[in-house]
Amino acid sequence: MISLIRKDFYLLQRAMLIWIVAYIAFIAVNFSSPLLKIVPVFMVFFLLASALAMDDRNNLDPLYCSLPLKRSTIVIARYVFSFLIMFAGLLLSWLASHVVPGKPLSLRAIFATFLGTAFFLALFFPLNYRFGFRLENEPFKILGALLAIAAVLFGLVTLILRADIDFSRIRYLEFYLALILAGMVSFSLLLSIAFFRRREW
Amino acid sequence: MEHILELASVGKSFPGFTLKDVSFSLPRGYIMGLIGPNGAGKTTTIKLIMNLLRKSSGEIRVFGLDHIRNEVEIKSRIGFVYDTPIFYEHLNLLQMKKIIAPFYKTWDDRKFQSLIKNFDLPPQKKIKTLSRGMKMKYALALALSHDAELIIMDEPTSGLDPVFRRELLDILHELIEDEQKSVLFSTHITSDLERVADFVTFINRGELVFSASKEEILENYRVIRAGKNKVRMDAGLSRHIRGFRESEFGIEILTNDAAACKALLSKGVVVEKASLEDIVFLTGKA
Repeated sequence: MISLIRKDFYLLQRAMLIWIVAYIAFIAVNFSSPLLKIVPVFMVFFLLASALAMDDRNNLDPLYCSLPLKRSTIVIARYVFSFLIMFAGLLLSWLASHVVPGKPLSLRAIFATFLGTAFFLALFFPLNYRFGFRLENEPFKILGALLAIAAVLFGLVTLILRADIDFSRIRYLEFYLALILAGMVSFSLLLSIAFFRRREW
Repeated sequence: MEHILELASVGKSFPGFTLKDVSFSLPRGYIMGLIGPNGAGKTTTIKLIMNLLRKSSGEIRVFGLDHIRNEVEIKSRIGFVYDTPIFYEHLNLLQMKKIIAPFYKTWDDRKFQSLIKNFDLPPQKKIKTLSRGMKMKYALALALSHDAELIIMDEPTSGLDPVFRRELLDILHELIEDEQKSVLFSTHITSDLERVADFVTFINRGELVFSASKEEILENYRVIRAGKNKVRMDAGLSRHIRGFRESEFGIEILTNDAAACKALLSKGVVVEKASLEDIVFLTGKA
């Protein structure tokens, strides 16, 4: 599994380097947009999409399935890789928010972003392993629509929260959310493994 | 004789195509050619062995082990070459090797370097710039660098020029000289088999026609050529016919029992040894 994760990092090292250098360069010229704080989160999605698109473009899945690897290992490695770059992206966001002008990102905000990203991954991976990574595929269009709805809902919830609800009164909210999400990610992983085991080339 | 690969009644159904009851075995230290016309089921058979397709029925054993239960161990001892080699096209040969090598415990980097040199491959060149023949050689270099005991190749010679083809077949022949390795390769080019194969397995329309040693096949099969008026087809004759072709010049009958067949025909027929091409061509016509 480590070889698979290392392989993804190896293939994306140039893209990662470009992202990080560009990001540091923006910070260095004191580019003070608040968006800069969440740029690393976009980086996570970009890198993950790049890794999947690269494998898909070159039709690499059958190659990995002909190597001495269990199909479940191939899937688990992809999840681990995604979570690793997600942690790296969030860490970068958090560090950057302390460098760029403005209010730094709270740990709570970082945690919420983590939950949101993990939620997206939990939805995305089973579709990827069922249908292959093609953005023109129907399921990905549906996922895009779901994400758009989620973004609108997120906006509405934010407005409501700002209006009259004291979010901090809801005790252990993060804990319960994390617990639900852990269950979702586990289920997503099992589903992805089942789909990938059934795939034929 | 130890069998490195055994298929017993293997089947696979797709919409519009069924591979039925394919059974054959490959002994250690030999080359087997899997032959048949395009769409006969050769690639399906190979993909079933590699578990890239799930079999509908039957049993596949590689090195005496079940090919699904022991998938990881089996694949660590197999070198597999696709009909169209799959790589990250933007990488060069050494970069691609860096990705593949860690998956094999028995990877031998010195052997890889020497194969690259022997095959005249440019290590720093990007894969997308290589010709099909060079990609095939590179795939073979990767397959041979982890000391694979069984090399499986799907249509390795199709689309290659005659020089590359000959070179590739010579490499396969050299491979089995230690009598420990075996090669299974599919092709629809019969001359490739005549050059290197010890065993031939013929699949046509998803069904196994025969699987036997090349000598046995060439010894048993005959083509009977005759004028149209020399042959009266009846049940007795039909029983011995494996393939048949009628043209304006006469008829050609493929049989694996020439003596019985000849006895049923009138005088003036010509009996010749069948080549593999005759067998594939006439069986396809049957």
